[in-house]
This record gives sequence, C-alpha cells and structure tokens, in this order.
Amino acid sequence: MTAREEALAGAQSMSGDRVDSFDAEAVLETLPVSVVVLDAHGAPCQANAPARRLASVVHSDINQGLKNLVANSPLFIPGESDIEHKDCEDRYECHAEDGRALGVIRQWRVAGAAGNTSCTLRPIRAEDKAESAQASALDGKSTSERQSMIHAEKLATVGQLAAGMAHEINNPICYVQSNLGTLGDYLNKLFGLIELSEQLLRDSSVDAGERLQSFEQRKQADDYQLIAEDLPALLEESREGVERIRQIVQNLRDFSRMDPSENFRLFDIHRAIETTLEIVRSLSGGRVRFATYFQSLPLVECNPTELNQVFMNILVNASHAVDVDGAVEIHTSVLDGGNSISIRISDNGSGMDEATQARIFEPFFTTKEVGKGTGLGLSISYGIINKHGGRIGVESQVGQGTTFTITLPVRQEQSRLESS
Amino acid sequence: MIEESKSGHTFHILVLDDEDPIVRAMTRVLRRMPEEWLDGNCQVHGYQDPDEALASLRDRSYDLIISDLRMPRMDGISFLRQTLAIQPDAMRIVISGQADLPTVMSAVNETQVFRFIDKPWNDTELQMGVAQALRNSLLQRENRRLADLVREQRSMISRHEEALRELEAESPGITQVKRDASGAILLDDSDFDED
Repeated sequence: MTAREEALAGAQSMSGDRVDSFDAEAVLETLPVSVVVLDAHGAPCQANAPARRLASVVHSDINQGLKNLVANSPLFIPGESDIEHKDCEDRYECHAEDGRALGVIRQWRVAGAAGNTSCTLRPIRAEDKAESAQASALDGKSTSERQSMIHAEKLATVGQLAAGMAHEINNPICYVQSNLGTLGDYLNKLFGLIELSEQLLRDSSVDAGERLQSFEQRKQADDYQLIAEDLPALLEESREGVERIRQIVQNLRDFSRMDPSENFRLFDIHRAIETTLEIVRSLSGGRVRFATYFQSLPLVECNPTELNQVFMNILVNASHAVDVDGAVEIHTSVLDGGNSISIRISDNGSGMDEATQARIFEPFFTTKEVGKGTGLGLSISYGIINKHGGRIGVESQVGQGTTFTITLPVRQEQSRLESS
Repeated sequence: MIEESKSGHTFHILVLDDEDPIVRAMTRVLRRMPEEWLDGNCQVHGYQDPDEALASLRDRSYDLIISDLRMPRMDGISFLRQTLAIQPDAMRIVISGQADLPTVMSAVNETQVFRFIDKPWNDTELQMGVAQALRNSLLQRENRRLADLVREQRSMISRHEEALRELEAESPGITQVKRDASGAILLDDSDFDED
C-alpha cells in the first residue's frame, strides 16, 4: 500500500458516523483547493468557496459555472463501478463565458467517494495552447491574497535592486563625508587667520605695512586663495550629494509602499514613469542610456502605485536585456481622440523568440537564473493593466530588441471603479 | 590647480572614478596631506574616463594610481591591469564600496594592488595609505637609482682595472708604488734601467 492509498483508506474509514459528528461543509470551506461534490448523476450539488469563486469567473451564473467546471469531464461515467476507474485525474482547458481562456482545470476524483471532485486552475502554458497564453494567475484570488502577492513581488524587485541601490547611496555619502572633513580643515585655517588678524590689530608696536605683510604671509601659507575658490564648490557638491541621497530614499519609499487604501485617482503618468526611471537608472549604474519622448498627456485615472510597478518590471527587464551600449526609449502619446493614452517602452537588447514571447505573461515563467527573478513581474503587470481596462502587448525580435506597448483609458468605467 | 611651492618632491597621483564629486573630494583630501607624513606635495590628476586616464598614463610618469572598481565603461581590475603594462613602477590603490573576496584576490594577484580602501573612506586612513604608497614608490625609485649607480661605477672600476693591467703588462711593476716607513716614495735605480 502506498502512502497515498493509506491516506485515502484512512479518509474513507472515517466516512462513517464520525464524519457526521463534525461539519464537513465547514472543513471543505477552509480548503484552499476548489472542491465540487457531485451527485449520483454527475451534477454538482455542493461547492466550497474557492470552487464558487472559480465558477463565478467561468460564468455569471454560479451554478452554470460549476457545471462548466466539471462538464467536460470524461471522469464521471454514471453507473460504472468505482473500482473500474480508481483515482482519476483529468486536465482540460477552461474558458470564461466570453470565450477567454482562463487556464487549465485539473480535476481530481477520489475513487469510492460519492462524487467529490476537486478542481484546481492553473494558467495555460505554451504547450497547452500557444495563442491563448495570457492568463493571469491572479484570477480567482481574493483581494487580500492578490494584494499580498503583488506586494511580495514588489519587495522581491526591491531586493534585487538593493545592491545597485547601496552603491548609489554610498557614493554621495562618500564624498559628502569626506568634504565635511575638508570643510573642518578649511575652517580651522580661516579661524587661525581671524585670530592672527585680531592679534595684529591689537599690536600697535609694529607699523601697518609690516602687519599687513605678516598677514599676507600667513594667508599664503594657509592656502587662503585656494580655500576661497574651493569652498563654494565644496558646499555645492555636498548639497547636491545629500539631495541625491534624499531622492533615492524617497523613490524607494514611494515604490515599496503598500497602500491598500490607495485607489484610482487622476495622476500624471509622466511623473510615475520618472519616479520609476530614477530607481532603474541607479540599478543599471549608468550602463544603460534612458531616453524619454513625452507628448503632453491628460491626467489619467489610475492607481499610480500599481502602474509604477508595471513600469518598474518592464524597465528592469529592459535594462537586463541590453548589453554594454544599451539604450531604452520611452514614448508616450495620446490615442483615440484623447480617450486613451499609449506608453511604448523599447530596448535594443537581446530580444525574445516567439516561444518566449508567448509565455512572458505567464506566472512563474522566467528566463532569468534561479533566484534572480520571481517570474511574476509581467504576469502581475498584465493583471494590473487589465484591471485598468487597458492592454499590454509585446513585439520582439531576437537580437534586435523588445517593445512593450501599454494602452490605458484616460477615464475608468464606473463599474470597474466599484468592483476594485 | 595651483602648483604648490613647498619643499621636497612633487608626487603625481592619478585618480579615476566615474563620479566627478568623488574625484574632487579625494583631491581635496590629498591636497591637505599632513606635512609630517610626506615630504613633498601631491599633484592630483583626476579622471572620470578610463581611456583618458590610460592616455595620460602613456604621457607622463605617475607615482600612484588610485582607481574605483565599479565603473560603467571599464571595470577597475582591467583598468589596473592595463596600467601595469604601461607603468609597472607606479603604486596602485583601489577604492571601492563593494569588493568581494574574488575581486580583491584578483586585484592583489594580478595587478599588485598596494592597498584596498573602503568607500566611504576615512580621510586619515586614505592619507596614510597614500603617504605610505608614495614613500614606497620613492624608496623603489631610490633603490633603482642606487642600483644603476653601482652598476655604472662597477663598470668604471673594471675599465680602470683593465687599463692598469695593460700598463703592468707593458712595464711590469709600474702600477706598484714602494713607500718607506714615513710614506715617502722610494725610487729604485732599477726602475729606470731601460732609460
């Protein structure tokens, strides 16, 4: 007996009177997987919360949705002996009402049970069907799950940025600190000169010409001329250094903030792009040239924090894709008579073949080394743009570069605002 | 930069960092080097571009090269490797904010780095490190000068000896001078036999 059979046997042995003694329905409700219980004819008669959520995505009528979930199943053949088809598993593609591919349903049925069928949804992979590969892992997740997933991904990005960030903050600290030391040295010399001039002023035994001469000598010895010339530059550079540190910290804070209360508001898209660009610039350490070509845009009704994350994901990927002489361009323009805007981010990097392009919006798909990327960035971006009622697309050619195009409506539909 | 007219040697130092404010801050620190640590003054030549720095290295002799490790166009190690080919005698110091062990090892083994200084640096530590490097370079130069001198003098001595031997062969005894107890030179009649 394998461990699984053992466990199943154990579960079945409990299905006597002991099951009745606790609330089986409550247990089902707490399960993270979708469970649909079928009656003797193979029709769904009971479903837990994840299953209902899944069904509601499949069809506006939950009952119809549940039927759709298990309908395609060859698993259930009424009347046949349970022994014939023990524990069965089946996978099939699942579509929403509007024909949009949601993912692949993995249906699992335990032999002997009246009809417990567990359904889990996983996103479609390229090998399942290449052209409909844009499923979001976030479908079917609750708002809080979604929020924490997005936040985790965001923090992972920040973690990858940390090394670049440390370098970026370290340099200004370095020269500001050193300049303060130099400033102390300069001040000592200047105070020394003031003391000397005071002494000379009080000393009336020497004539004015001599006093002036000894003062001049001391000035020369203390490099007065040099200090006077250098001091303004020193202060200016140090001030600029502190400003740079402040800016970096501010950007990082803007980016990593998780503000669930933040909602759709009118926002300047260019400002969102600039903020994110600052962070990515520091990550790439000057290796990549970034150029922005901004047309004047209307304020866009959006969630700025979420959009920042989308720009971040695309820009970080772009800066990873380019080589030493990398260039990334960002174009914005107004479309559709001012009703929507488009943002185009192109790089001259390594590009992607078609198989990769088909999968980039898939969750957990990554071409980076293990530990370098979560594989969630673009799938979350896809979800965010979707939520905004916009579209995100990619064009790429191996060795030529990649262009991401995002279009966003300027105003949100009222229903979308309410549902978010 | 004002050419300082203090006593002693003028040391030429090349500083390379991709950020201008860093180069300038370092220049300030080296310019106010305490006199008791270094007999001489430092002339700092700052560069942000590794290629310009290399061009300058082909142009004039430096006592010390200070370089950052992480730069966008050329990494510090390969820069230092090239300086080793151009000016093998110059001392090398690395200033870096994030040096991991493999980098440090390759810097020391491949480019003979004299010292690693952390970013942000401590001004005193930087001045001491630089002063020590410059004293070392001065000693090395002095050593080489003395060794050259010795070689030159040796060859002069051997030329003298050669001349003496030739004389001796021509007229045996001519290189020997006999003196009495008071130091006066004794001239024997036999020395003038041939005349």
